[in-house]
Amino acid sequence: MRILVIDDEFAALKKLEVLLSKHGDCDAATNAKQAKEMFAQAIKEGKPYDLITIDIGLPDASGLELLKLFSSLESRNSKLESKKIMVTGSADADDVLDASKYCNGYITKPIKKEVLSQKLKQLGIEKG
Amino acid sequence: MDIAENGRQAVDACRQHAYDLILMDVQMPVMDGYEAAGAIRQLEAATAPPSPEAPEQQQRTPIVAMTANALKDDRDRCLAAGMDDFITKPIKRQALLNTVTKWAGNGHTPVAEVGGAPTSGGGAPSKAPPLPMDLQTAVEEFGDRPLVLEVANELLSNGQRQLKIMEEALKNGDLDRLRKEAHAVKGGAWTIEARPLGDLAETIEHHSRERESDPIGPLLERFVKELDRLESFLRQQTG
Repeated sequence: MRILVIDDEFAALKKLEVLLSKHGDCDAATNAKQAKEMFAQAIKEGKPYDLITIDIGLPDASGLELLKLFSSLESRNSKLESKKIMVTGSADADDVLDASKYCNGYITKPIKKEVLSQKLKQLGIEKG
Repeated sequence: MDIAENGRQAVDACRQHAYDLILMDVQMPVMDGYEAAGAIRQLEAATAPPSPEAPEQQQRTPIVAMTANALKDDRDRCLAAGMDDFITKPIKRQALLNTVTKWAGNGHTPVAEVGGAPTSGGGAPSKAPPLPMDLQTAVEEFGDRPLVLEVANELLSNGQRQLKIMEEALKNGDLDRLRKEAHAVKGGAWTIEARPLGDLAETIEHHSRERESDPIGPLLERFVKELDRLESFLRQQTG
């Protein structure tokens, strides 16, 4: 399984990487520009990401914009859809509501191992 | 005596220590006194050991609300939130002492009535802060101790850089910049279980958002000390 973790915050990024690396190969992006390139490249190579986590507050774009872009690129370019998890702060209720149309779930920061694990189980990625 | 600046800090402190008495302002940023009292009662229900006086009951820390309103509605709301008593603000020395004696003295009698007469009270509070970082939880969460220490050291050096930015932003009155940096520190600190630093950053973030620059200077001084504490803690761990 291919996984893309998008977060500009070092600690959260490392934590997601270490927790998700047991489920597949993890790539990391720290801004929206980088994430878009990696996402597009993966589709081009015919090996799109299976799971993507997107921080809602990126330095160069909102996570929501990125999420919408990914959804539209996927509907145009591939039949396979990645599972997408938004990573949010607790104060982003409105954004979460908007994002819920395009993603498969969200987790709040600070990320807790158990919460992530529950979410992965819901999405059928983690067994248990 | 420990100090919390908002309800969430109070709840976190109760997670780490058993207190004999809690004095709780009802109006606080982040999490107010009512919500915090409720959370503390839930926490007690889940984790408190049996009471030494009555082993069939769990230990329960008396919580005294401090409120500017002496109305019965406020009193009822305090009691409904799980608090035991309340004193009115401005805090009067004798009323405070009476209440503290009543609840923290020998044997608790739950009675709710305290008024007050003017004179401002004030002993200087001393502080016994929790460890700068909950390393054990961090290692459990990340599942990898060297990685935790690496991330924590990165957080520390980022924190020192972010401190400079926040000091500069305060000097220039750029509270938006301050808020952003404080927000970033908070996220990283909480992720690595460096709660005190994260809570401090949260308080700075709050004041920046509310455009209250006066408290921020002293908070940044505490921030410096907290970074120092974290630094020596990490130095001990890495040996």
